Amino acid sequence: MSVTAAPPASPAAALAATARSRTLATGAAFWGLMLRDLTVLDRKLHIFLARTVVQPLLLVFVFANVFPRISQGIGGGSGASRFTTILVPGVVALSVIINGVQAVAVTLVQEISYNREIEDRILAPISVRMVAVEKIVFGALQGLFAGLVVFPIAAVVPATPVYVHIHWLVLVTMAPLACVASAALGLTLGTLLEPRSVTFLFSIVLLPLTILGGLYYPWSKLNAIPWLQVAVLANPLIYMTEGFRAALVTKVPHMPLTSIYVALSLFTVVLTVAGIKGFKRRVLT
Amino acid sequence: MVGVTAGHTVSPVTEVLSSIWDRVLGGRASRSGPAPADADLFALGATWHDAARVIALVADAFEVDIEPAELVDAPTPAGLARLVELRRMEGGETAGSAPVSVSQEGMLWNELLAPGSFNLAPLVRRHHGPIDPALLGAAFEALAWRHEPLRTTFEVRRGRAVQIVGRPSRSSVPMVDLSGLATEAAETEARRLIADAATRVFYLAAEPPFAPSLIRLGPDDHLLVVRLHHLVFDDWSVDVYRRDLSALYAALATGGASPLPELAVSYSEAARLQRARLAGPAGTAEMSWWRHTLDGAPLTTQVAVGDPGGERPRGPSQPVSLTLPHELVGPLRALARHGRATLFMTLLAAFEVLLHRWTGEDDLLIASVVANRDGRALEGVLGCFTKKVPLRLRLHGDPTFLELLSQVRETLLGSLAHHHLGFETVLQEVLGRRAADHGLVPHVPIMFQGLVPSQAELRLPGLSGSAFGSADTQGPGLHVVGPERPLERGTQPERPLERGAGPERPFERGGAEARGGRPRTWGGGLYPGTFLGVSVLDDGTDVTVVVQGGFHPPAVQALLDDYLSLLGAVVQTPLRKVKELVGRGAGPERPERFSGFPFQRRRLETALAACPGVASVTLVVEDRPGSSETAGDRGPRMVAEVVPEGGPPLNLARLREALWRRLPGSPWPAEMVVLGSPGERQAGDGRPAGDGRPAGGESPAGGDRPASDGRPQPQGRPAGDPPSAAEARLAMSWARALAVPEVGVQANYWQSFSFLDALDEARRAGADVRPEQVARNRTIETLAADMATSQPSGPGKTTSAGETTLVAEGGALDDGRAATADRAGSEAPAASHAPAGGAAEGGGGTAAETASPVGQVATPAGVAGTEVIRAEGLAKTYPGGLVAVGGVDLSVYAGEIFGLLGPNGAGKTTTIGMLTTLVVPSGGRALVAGVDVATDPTLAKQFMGVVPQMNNLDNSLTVFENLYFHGRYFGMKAGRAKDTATGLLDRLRLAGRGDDSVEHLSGGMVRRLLLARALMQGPAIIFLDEPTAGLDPQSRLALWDILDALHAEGQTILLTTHDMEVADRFCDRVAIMDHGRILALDTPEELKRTLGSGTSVMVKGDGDLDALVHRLEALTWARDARRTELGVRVVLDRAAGALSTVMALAEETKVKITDVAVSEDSLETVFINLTGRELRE
Repeated sequence: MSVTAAPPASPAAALAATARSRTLATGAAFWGLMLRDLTVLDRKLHIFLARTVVQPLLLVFVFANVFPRISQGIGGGSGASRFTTILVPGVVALSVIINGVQAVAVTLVQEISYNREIEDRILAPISVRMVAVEKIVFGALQGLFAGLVVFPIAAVVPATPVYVHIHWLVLVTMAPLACVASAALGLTLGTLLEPRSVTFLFSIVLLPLTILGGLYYPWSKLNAIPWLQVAVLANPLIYMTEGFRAALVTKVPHMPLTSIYVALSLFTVVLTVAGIKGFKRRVLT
Repeated sequence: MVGVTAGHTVSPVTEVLSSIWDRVLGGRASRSGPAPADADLFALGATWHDAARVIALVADAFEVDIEPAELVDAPTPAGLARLVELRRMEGGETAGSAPVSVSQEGMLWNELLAPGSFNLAPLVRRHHGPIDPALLGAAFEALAWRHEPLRTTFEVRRGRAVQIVGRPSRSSVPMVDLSGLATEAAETEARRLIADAATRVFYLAAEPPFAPSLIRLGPDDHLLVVRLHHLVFDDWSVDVYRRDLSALYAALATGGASPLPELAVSYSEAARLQRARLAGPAGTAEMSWWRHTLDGAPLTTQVAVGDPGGERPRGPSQPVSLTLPHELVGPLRALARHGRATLFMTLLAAFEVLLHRWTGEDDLLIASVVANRDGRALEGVLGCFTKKVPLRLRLHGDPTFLELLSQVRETLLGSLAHHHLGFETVLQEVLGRRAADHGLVPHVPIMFQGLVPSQAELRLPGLSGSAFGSADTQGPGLHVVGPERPLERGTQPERPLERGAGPERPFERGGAEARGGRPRTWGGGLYPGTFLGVSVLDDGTDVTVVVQGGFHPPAVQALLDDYLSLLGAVVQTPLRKVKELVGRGAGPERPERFSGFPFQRRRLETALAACPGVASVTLVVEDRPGSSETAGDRGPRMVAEVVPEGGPPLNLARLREALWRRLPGSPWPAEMVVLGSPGERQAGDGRPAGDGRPAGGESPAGGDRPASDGRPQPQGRPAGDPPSAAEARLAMSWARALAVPEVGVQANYWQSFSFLDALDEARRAGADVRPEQVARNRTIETLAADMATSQPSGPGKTTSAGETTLVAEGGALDDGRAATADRAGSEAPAASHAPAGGAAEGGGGTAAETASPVGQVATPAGVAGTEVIRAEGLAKTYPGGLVAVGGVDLSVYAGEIFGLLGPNGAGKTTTIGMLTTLVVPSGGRALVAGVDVATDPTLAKQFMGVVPQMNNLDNSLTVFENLYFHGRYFGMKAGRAKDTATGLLDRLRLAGRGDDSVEHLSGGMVRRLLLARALMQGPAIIFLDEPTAGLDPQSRLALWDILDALHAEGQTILLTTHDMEVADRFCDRVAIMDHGRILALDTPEELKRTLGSGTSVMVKGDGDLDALVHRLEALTWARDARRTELGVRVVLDRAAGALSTVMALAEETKVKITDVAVSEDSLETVFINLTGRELRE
């Protein structure tokens, strides 16, 4: 940014005129941030892969391979095959939410604590809001990847067949929505949590989310316990599992698609706004 | 002995007196050898305490008594020698006297200066029935036989006050017969007589200050009026008097013997015993306790009640009393019990809070009274035993009221336990020296005392007593009255202690004038002055507070009202913090503080202007940097500049005395400079003013005063020159901010905290003032000139091109210079008399001349004057009300290194945070490269590189990647980012570390990498927050090398630091911040010049040192040149050429130099001067 430009109105304005436009600067910085995150991800690829593969693999292996073979537990017979069909979309949703949340929340907690290394990025010529958006986008991408990983696993591992019937329109809309909602949840949690309380993320937030997320059962079956059926509506995961069921399998009842889209969109917007607000609060004083 | 000195020979008496002068003045009389025979004691700064010492020493040396008034008339050794010899021929008499008690001594000295100031209100009682004046006379005679003080007269012998116990007069009580008048007329007349009696001055040398008389209102209707003086009477004595007189009258009436037991000890014996005790180690121990307790205490505490115009009401106000409501008294007593204190202590603690509120001070000095009747033996003795004790009330920490109560209890008990030394002695010994450095006298004008109402009643057999109006003292305790009407010249005895007072005494001439023809309020200390006395009367059920003082009664009433509401608040919430209770001050006029001595400038000026021969007066407080605790040449000093009326030359000693009389107890100017009416000046004490120094300057405090060092240029403002609009606006707004009626345009308000507030005020009033202008100007006058000078570059006028702006500024500057030069020209007669100071003063001329105007910093061509940063009223208040930055204005120009200096917590980092968008401002605005950081951060951030105080490197990336990605954030293409990063690693001596993790870097490397990162995008400005904090010297040097190189390339840098040396060396300009404000902003050199103590050169050598001093004084840039014990010391404004100039002058004056030492001002001096020494955490 040299200051040798011909003097227009005032020297300060001359200086200002050398600046790139807001959009241009924001675009460049956004791309820079993505590059930086990719580099860091690349450096820790093994950890990332382990995180995205191991959990769905174990889940599918135990519930869809081991259990039917030892005639244990859920379903059994055609019921077993039915259960696997119920399970797989749930595992996709779980992978998306766990990885989406983790990708954003855990790194954010580190970056805005102690040495505030986030300042480096806050001082880039980009608005604070866009820094947060970049975090969501990158987290969502990681969630998407984690969701995709489940498919090959589901194709190979289960002992009973999975009746997959993909509704493409639903899938390509549902997947990004679920990923962004997860990353936004991660941003919100990341700005709320202190580094010391990161462990709560798993024990207090993610575990209940999972257990009560309709992973192992369709939501409509909960009509036996009406209060629970209502209570789990507060869990964003329930819409994701139901949504992925609608997108991936047939013969399993699911919530009306409209309700799923409306609720998930609502969650996405609220969490994104809350996350950005919290982020601003944490990085600016 | 030797006769009166004739011709120029010095008599032995004069010689001895000269040595006494020397001893008392301690070197102030002359630099070497004894004082000259014509050394004027008062002109040399003697206080009345010094005068008393002279009198004592003269008495010791010659066995001759000199009275203070005589000393005033003949204040030189030669003059006094004549008097001493006369007196010795008369012969002295010393028999039959005893020393006065400690309690009496202070009062006696006071009586000399202000006769009648300790008169008590007469005891008045109406008696119905047949009264026998002869019998009453006999009873009073018997009473006087029983109680020594009632037959005691007082004299000054050999410089000491003595009491002479004589025989009581054997006469019936004198009677004034008003029975011929109608009852009403008689009562009116009686009241007039009583009022007259109250103020009549006692001839202490001739009559005991206790005089009963009768007023006959009708047959069998008499008033018994006893005139009395505090010297022989105190509150306790009222009961003794009533009981004893009743008993004696009854015994005499019935012919019986006196029923009263013999007294175990007489008053004079008790006085002797007290004195003997104090002479021993007890006295020494007590004094050291006081020294410790009063260390650093204020010299006085004044409550500004009423008295706005300098005219005081005639005489003291009538006492205003307030009976506390019962619903308040009960809880107060309970609160006292709860705090394990007495009711008096509780009321005192509340009074302390009241004083904090009214004075705004945290450290108060007031007095209380102790009955001092230790031991049963003294219980039945009539006489004055009460003593005042100093109470130092300090607000430690942030106590609740209950905690304060316990502090007050400790303070009060401590002071009461150490009451034996006289109040005046304590003050003079402990605070006197500090005060004397400024020509002041410690003075405690506020008293808070507890009284127990009288229990006994005066019963005369056959008579029935009743009250007479409000003058009856059967009720509340005594109160002191002063004379209520002026002592008219020649009609009143002026010297109550004079033996055989009469006009035939020599040296009487001028006495009346000297004694003052004005009413006098009663004094509070060794010296009379305005006084606020608060007495608490507690009779077990009712509690009454009586306030009296030389104030307007409405003001006293306001004080009482406030006190009452405060008591209410205290009772309701004893656990409230005192600071909340103090709240905002309610005092109508807040005095200025000068050397621990508050004063009201306007009042002082008015009083001085009212002195004979004075046409007009300007008061200036010079705030010479340095501690006020050190004597002499440092610390503030008040100077009065007096324009005389035509007629005979002013005698400054007389003028000072006249001022003293008008405003007793107030500080007065350490120096008075007599200015001629335009075109002509005259030396105040008759000396011709040929040497160009402030003529007639008397400098009692510290010997020779240097020619107006750093003083603003107030003398020469032509009388009647109306202030400019800007001046008027500033003066008005500041007067409002300071809560004073008026602020002189030449008054020096710089460095006073309220000045900064006043700056806000001025802004609110629409004045376009910048803090750095405030920093370099000390008076409204010069500031207004400065503002006029820089007007074209005011905020919001940056639309023209940079070059043009610069030229415009230059032009304006030149105009300003010309304007100030013109003014200086018109002021020539006045300015010329102080050549040594004229140019050095912070006056308009100099300020405009040398202050570095905006845009004139050394910058690479092409960008000169470009404002890279502009902050206007930038403020940050954190949630919760913490004001981190309270309105900062600054500009940083392209190419300069700008330093933001300040102690921890000054607001530096917050300021940088706001400029770099990390902290959201709560007020004002900041532009970086013309872009508002708050509204357009994305744009603004493109221009800045930020090096934070803490390591905030991206820990997930390597050293190289930290730079690379930073470049990418700023829109650099991959190749360019790579090249730049590699180049910077190289440049910042990090080559080879590119692939390391940043977690493994040393502190110095981290700092360099942070800097490299900030440089990646080639920012218009880099911010460095404490760049060298925590680095080892090598890393620090390496970093500074890099910054130096960057500076050379034209990089603009804003840094914060508290390393003064660094700031001094590297910064083009610095702003000194504290408490979220910029206190000063200029180049380091200019700051040192205007705010520092100067470069001082100390020369030791042989030869005509005086000639050298004379030559040095003539230097326009010398602030101060003087002889010291070791040689010559000169303080120069600038360091460059100082030494060579001094050496050259030494050679010219043929002084052989043996040693020279130069000590230069450092920025640290400035910093400490501005921000104080207190520790910041």
